[in-house]
Amino acid sequence: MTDVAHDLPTRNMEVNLGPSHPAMHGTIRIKVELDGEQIVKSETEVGFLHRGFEKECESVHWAQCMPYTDRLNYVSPLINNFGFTRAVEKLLGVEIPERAKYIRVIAAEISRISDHLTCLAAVAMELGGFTPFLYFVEGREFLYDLIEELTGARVTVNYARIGGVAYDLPRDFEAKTQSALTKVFALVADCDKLLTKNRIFIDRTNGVGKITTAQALAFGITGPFLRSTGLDHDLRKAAPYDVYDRLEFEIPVGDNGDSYDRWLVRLEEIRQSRRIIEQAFKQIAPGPVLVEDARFALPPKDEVYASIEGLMNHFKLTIEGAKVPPGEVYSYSEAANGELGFYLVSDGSGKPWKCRVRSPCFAIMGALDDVLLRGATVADIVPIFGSVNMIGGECDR
Amino acid sequence: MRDEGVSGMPTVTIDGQRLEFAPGQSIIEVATKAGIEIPYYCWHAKLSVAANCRMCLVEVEKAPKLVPSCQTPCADGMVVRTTSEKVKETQRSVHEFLLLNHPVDCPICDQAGECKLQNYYMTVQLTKSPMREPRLKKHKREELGPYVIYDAERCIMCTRCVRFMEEVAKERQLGVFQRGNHAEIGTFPGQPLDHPYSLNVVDLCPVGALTSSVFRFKQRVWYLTRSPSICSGCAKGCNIHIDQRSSIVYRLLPRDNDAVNQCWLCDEGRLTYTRANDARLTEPLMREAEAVEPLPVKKALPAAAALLQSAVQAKQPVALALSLSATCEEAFVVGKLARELCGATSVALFGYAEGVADALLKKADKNPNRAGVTAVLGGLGLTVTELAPFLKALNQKQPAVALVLGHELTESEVLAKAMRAHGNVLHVAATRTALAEAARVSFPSVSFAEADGTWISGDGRMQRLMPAFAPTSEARPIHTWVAELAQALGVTWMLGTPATIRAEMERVLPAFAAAKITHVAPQGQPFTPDGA
Repeated sequence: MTDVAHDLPTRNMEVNLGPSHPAMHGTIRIKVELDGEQIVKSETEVGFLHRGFEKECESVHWAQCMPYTDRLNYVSPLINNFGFTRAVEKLLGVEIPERAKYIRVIAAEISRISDHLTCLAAVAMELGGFTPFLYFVEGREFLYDLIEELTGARVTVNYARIGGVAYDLPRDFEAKTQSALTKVFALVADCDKLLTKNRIFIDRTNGVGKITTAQALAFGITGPFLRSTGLDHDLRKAAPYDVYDRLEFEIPVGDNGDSYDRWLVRLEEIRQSRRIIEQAFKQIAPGPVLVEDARFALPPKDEVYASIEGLMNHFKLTIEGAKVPPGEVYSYSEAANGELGFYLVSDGSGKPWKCRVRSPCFAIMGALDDVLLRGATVADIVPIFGSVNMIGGECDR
Repeated sequence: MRDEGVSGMPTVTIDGQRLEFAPGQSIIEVATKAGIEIPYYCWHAKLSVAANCRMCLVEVEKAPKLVPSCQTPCADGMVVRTTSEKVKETQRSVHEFLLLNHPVDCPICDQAGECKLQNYYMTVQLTKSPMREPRLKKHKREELGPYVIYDAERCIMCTRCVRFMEEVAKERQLGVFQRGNHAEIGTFPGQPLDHPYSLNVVDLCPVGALTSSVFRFKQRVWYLTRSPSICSGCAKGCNIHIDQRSSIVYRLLPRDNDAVNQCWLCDEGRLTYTRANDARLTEPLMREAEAVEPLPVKKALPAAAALLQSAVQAKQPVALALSLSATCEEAFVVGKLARELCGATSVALFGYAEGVADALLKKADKNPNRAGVTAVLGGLGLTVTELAPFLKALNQKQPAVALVLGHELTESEVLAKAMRAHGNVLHVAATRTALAEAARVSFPSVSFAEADGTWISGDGRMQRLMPAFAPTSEARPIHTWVAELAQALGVTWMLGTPATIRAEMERVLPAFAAAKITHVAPQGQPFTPDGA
């Protein structure tokens, strides 16, 4: 402060951002205390999108939880689907068919790309770059078309099943995926050129919203956010599931843990996801996509309509739900935002006794006030927040 | 060498658990009691052993082959395995056989959702159909009697129904006809299944072969909510389950109580479920000259109270008549009103006409709470009379105001006529009968399914009625209306809930204190009018 300013008495000002502010994407409230442009203190309030997902699960069958998981991280719903079924399968002690594993990997990586595209688009837009936003979202649209072809829906996919997936890949899915990815990556390359070496973009993101590895770990932050600080922790490598151990890919890491690094990490991750998808298509072999196990998997329709065994099985599974053996389980997978964990308790009935979600972006919200926003300027709030990729559905559950 | 348990009883080891047994007990009885589940169809604790379904086969050490656990008595030192691979494989195969010719009926079968075939398919079978031949066609929708419909294709020939008719109903109305695959249950020429306990075979049937023509296709069972209650059909006080959905009662089923009805219920009692649904009085009615109009509670109550108050203030006589289906709690508050406000010395009781008793369950007294109502009113120092003196008084316009509480009587027309002629009769009833039309003001009360109260059976057993659901209309128990009237007359009793009434009853009435009306066990408890 200059000497002149000293003479003028000033007061800190409290400003509300959100929960419904045009610049805030995601329904969240940040109350900031400002000294001029500088943020002295902030208070983040989450929970505006709380639907009681976890409680809701206790009143429906295991399989009926699936559509609810679509609404967790709604820009990559397939990953939530798979995360939940993986937890139930762990409780049941079930190994899903090879083909289902590959399909899950392919679908999850398509979702990861669409999730990252959304975040990158947001980061660009928060800084006034509306053109890259449109480019990225157009790219996402190609992927949503793919997902729609695979599952029948763009967002409300409900594609996973306990013991596999609902249906096999549609015809020519590999070719369609390739052509979609080609179009997506042309757009990504454009945006990369527009922004990554753009002076203004670098000035607005480099060193902004910084966090160290130790701080990130202390807050329980995972995913691209943690990797941008330099730690190469990725559950696909650290605790490989499905068929990730058979696929080659790199884990990109940053070194500053700032908005710029997060941008770079996500850009590189979508390229790695493409590698994964291409390899998975090469390795995938024909076979069943759902375990044949009458304890939890619905029988084929011809058996339901023509045999009493199939009918009874179908009846009991739909009316009473699959009886999952009593026990508790924590299962995790690498979602687009980090570690997506499901803690489930079964009492042996057809419904979860308890369901708890460890949502990756909720952990990041904890660091917002103490680390990311403190000392930043008002103009940085929205760009920093954009690089967090807070998804209300997942954060507030 | 005897392998004796702690109490000197012989023991058997089932699945590694050492269990005591009384000589003669079968393996399945001992196992079931210890919580070890052995699947079965034909076995029933209250029927003779047939051992024909072969589901309960278990492995007994040193026995050359599997034995039916329902038929095999425990022997000292016997070692039984119910979950070995051999047993499981047998259960799977037996179940496969049971389903071989079973029709693909679940979507149109009433039993779906409470079917043992479905349950055991999930717990013991879980295989696909091995059947490649066309399924055997048999009789479907065969009316065995007025209430029971038989589907031969669904039948697994466990013969529980045949054994029930022979051993419990003691009338051989059912038999097995044909042999092998073609066997069917049937009645004999000219003799339908019309026994007054015929619907018990529907409960006994573990599959959907026997269904009730009354309940058939009315409701899917998994939508029903079950709650315990007492049958209102007669003074026996049979324990029942009420199955309801959205405040509509769909069926009554027997609830096990070895001290009252074992696990049976008569057809007549079962059919009383309609009392909770049909022609319900849902809002107060007021009669002006010949016109009967519905009235909001906030208008009906002051109107009724004003009528009662004018009589009470002028010290004119007020007569009361109470239904024998009222709960003890209701009788207590009515008794208080009679004594403390109306200055009455007696209350007339009315109810259903005497019916026919039988050796199994049915009582001749068709009123569920004669013992209770009489004991409460007697305990309050009131004399109870027949309906005749009340009618006579009504016809002679002796009381300025009269109260008719309840509608449960066989010949309601005479009473209705007297009420109409008198003109100033207040009425509380669950059902809209001629009485409701004849009264000056009628208030809706709760049915047995909504009631929270206590009944005392003809055998002196005090049992609790649990509300299966809250009243959906303006219906309130008789005691609430009576207390509201008293309140309007300036007397507050603080007896708002059945629980507070019961506490007050224990304080005032020694017999009810001795029988502990505040703590009625789920299976009921004995009650004696003298409190012994």
